[in-house]
Parts: sequence; C-alpha cells; structure tokens
Amino acid sequence: MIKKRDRLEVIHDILRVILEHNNSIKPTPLLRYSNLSSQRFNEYFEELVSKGFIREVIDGKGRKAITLTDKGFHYVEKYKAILGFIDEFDL
Amino acid sequence: MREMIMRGFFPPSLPLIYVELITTIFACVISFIIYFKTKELYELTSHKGIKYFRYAFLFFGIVSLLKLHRPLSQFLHLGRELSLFFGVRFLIGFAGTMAVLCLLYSLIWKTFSKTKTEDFFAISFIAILISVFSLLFGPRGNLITLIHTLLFLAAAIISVVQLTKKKKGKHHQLAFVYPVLFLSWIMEIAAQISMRISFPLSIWLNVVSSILLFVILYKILRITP
Repeated sequence: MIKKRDRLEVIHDILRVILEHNNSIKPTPLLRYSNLSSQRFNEYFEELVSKGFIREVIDGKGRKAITLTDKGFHYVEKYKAILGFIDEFDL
Repeated sequence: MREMIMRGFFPPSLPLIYVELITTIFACVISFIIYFKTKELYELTSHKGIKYFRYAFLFFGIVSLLKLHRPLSQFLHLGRELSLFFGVRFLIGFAGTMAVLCLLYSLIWKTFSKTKTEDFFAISFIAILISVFSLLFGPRGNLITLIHTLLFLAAAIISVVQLTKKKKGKHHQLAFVYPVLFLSWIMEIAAQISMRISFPLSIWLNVVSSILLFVILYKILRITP
C-alpha cells in the first residue's frame, strides 16, 4: 500500500516541482505535478503564499507564474535536517 | 536532626551551593540554546511536535532561572525567606509541570491530532491544577509526592512505549534519556516545592539533568549545525 504523504512532504514536493521547472511554473501544471485534488492544492497554495514560501508573478508575456521566495529555497535546503530532527526526537 | 537537615533548616555547605549554582546556570543556558536553536525549524514547518518540544525546554529554562533563587539567597544571606516566597514556588511548580507535559505531548500529539481541543490550554490547566495542589499540600502532606510519582510514571511509561514501538529492533537512546530526564525534572520540582528531598540528592538530580540536556543539545547540533 502506498503511504499517504504527510504535510511537510507535500509542501516539499510542491516546492521541488517549482524548482525543477527553473523556478517558474504556471498554476495548472503545478496542480497536475503535485498529485493533489484541486481543493487540497488550493489549501496548500494559500498556506505557502501566506507563509511567504512562494509568490505569484506575471512573466514577460503577461502570464501568471509561480516562483519560490528565499524562504521557499531555504525550506528545500533544510528539508533533510527537518526530517532528521523529527525522526531523531520522534516528534 | 536528620529530618531537619533534609527539610533544609540548616544551610547547605558552600561547595554544594557552588555545584548547584553552576549546574543550574548550565541547565538554564542549554535549555534556552535548545529553544532558540530549533526556532528556525519551527518557523519553517509550524510542526506541532517541534512546537511542544521547544516549549518543554523554554519552560525548563524558566524553571532553572527560578531555581537560581536558592543558591543566590544563600550567597546574599537571605536565609530561606526567598525560598518561601509564594510566587516563586508556584511558578517553579507550574513551569516544571508544563515542561514535563509539553515534552510528553511532543511525543504523543499525533494521537490527539483530530481532536478540536486547544491542546496548550488543556496542558496549562493540568499544570495549574498540579501547582495549586503542590502549594496547598506540598510542605505538609504526601499527596503531592503521590501526584508527582504518578505523573512521572505516566510520562516514563508513555515515552518508553512511544519511542520503542516505532523503532522496533533499533536501539533508541531517547527511550533511556526521556524517562531519566522526566524523573530528574519531577524530583527537582518536588524538591523545590515540598523540600522533602535532601539537598545533596537534589544536587545530583541537577547534575543528571544537565548531562541529559547536553546530550539532547548535542543531538540537535549534529542535525542543525
């Protein structure tokens, strides 16, 4: 049975998808790659924007794109340490 | 005579006061380092387990800070006046119980993750109840000793079960560290409130908890240098 992803893993996956697309991706492909229902995706999207992990920008052709902020990059960098910490102290 | 010494009617010897002062400052500094060192991880994740883990060390840091009143009052020749100050004993009881409950809750919060209760308020309410009982019955009766013993037993059993069930076959150091830390914290609180524990024993508990805090800090620094 496939294990359900926890909240931190979903956030990491969303940020990683953006990063793998040269830090600029449109909302629809991001929804597709994140493997979430649109309702859950919207919840995560709102959370990530409000926490300052991602931001919406308008590219040169007037299209909406999503990019990582410095805090978003930092989360991806620290993800291994976060998991290590949670595992070490069984939190 | 022995009973009087145990209850702190005679001032402890100077070297022991130095040991208490040094270990208390050490425990205080390490607790606050753990709290601030994990700040970034919590800000990035808003993880409930990390939140309560940090709270535990924040409260224990406060306990250590408040515990400084004993060696300081000895140095300042205040006798036991400061120790008997109602507010100090209540705060030590409250912050110490909060530290134990928060560390325990950081292990078991997932079990309650679907409940709608405000966890922090529930924990605070239990801590206030225990602290009030401590003040009312601490210096005289055995009730508070019983409450603290039960609290320690519950915390130790839950932590050992929780830490060993997920890591079957894998040696988990925390299954040893947490129960001993709970024991030393709870006995330290009991010693501060009810004064039924001898001074040298409370010094040893101080030393043990300082060593365990250092082990925890070392583990944190290994993960997040």
